[in-house]
Amino acid sequence: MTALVLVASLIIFLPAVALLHRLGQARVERRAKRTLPTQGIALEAVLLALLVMLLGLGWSWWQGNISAAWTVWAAMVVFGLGYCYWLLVCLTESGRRYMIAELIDRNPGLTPAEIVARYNRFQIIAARLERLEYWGTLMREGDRYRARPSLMLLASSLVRFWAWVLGFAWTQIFKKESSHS
Amino acid sequence: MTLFLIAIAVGATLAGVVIHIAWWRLQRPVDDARALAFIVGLVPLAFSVTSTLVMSLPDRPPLLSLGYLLLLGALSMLHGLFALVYMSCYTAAQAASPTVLVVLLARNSGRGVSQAELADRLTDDLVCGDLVQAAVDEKFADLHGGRLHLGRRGRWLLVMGRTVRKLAGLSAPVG
Repeated sequence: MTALVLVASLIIFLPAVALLHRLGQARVERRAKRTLPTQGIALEAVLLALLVMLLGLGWSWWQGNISAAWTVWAAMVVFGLGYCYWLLVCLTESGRRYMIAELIDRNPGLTPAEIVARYNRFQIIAARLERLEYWGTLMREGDRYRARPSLMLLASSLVRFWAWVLGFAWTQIFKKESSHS
Repeated sequence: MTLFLIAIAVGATLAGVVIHIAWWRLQRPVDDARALAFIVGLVPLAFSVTSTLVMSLPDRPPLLSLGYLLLLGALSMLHGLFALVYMSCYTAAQAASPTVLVVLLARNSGRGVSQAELADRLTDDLVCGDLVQAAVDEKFADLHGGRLHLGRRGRWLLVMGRTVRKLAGLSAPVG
């Protein structure tokens, strides 16, 4: 019986996250003022569903209905599922692979140069600057942007470090940056 | 399932990541996604499954029983999610995320950075062009006679993405 409840909870976890996300999105749109970006609303939905799920798991373990190992396993699975949902939302919101796939699907037979002409650095940079300023990661002073200490800055530094560990050439751009300044 | 098995699964995945670093340092494979799924997903899963066979675990269900199949399913799910989570983090490092580049360039430049300076530093090849070639290499797109068509993985990506956006009631993406 407990195993069935556990499996059922895992099956309904993602639909529950999607439902919470939809409700959050509708709430923000009703206010006619975006208080959170889509990624933030998705994260809110994931965290809320995770909280409910973890409380349920903790309660079941406390009551002796499931073992500690299955509790840890289920917690890891819901964390993974929640992260994957959030990431998929981020990917469809700003992922370049996704945008390229959308462009090719809508216009089969484009050349690589035509893709770059339709989806280029000017569009990408403008969209990112707007989003990062909205999130408070960047601060605008006239026509210049400065980074504020934030989680995004920490995450960006970690990504750069990991890219350096793996030997990706793009990290060299910051060496040029040092020599510029 | 025992905590010991979960520890083995985590350890095997971490070992897979270490091998992945060494492999990428020696020579990065053309199809990153497949190689990564193999080294941080399949190999650790094989290690975990082998562990259930060769180690004398106290409460391991008998082989070919429903309990053992459930255990294998649980391990597969765990390793599948580990691999997905790592692979999704990896793409930010692999494909020079413009968000990361913009944030770090703004931080590194003492007096801030303008949109024009960013456009000057971040070439189309760096933020988009190289990714078109990567999409072909990774089978997200097919290139025939210089023209692009959606590949198998690209179709899957769109199906998943559009489903999630539809479920969540989201409008067209911004980019």
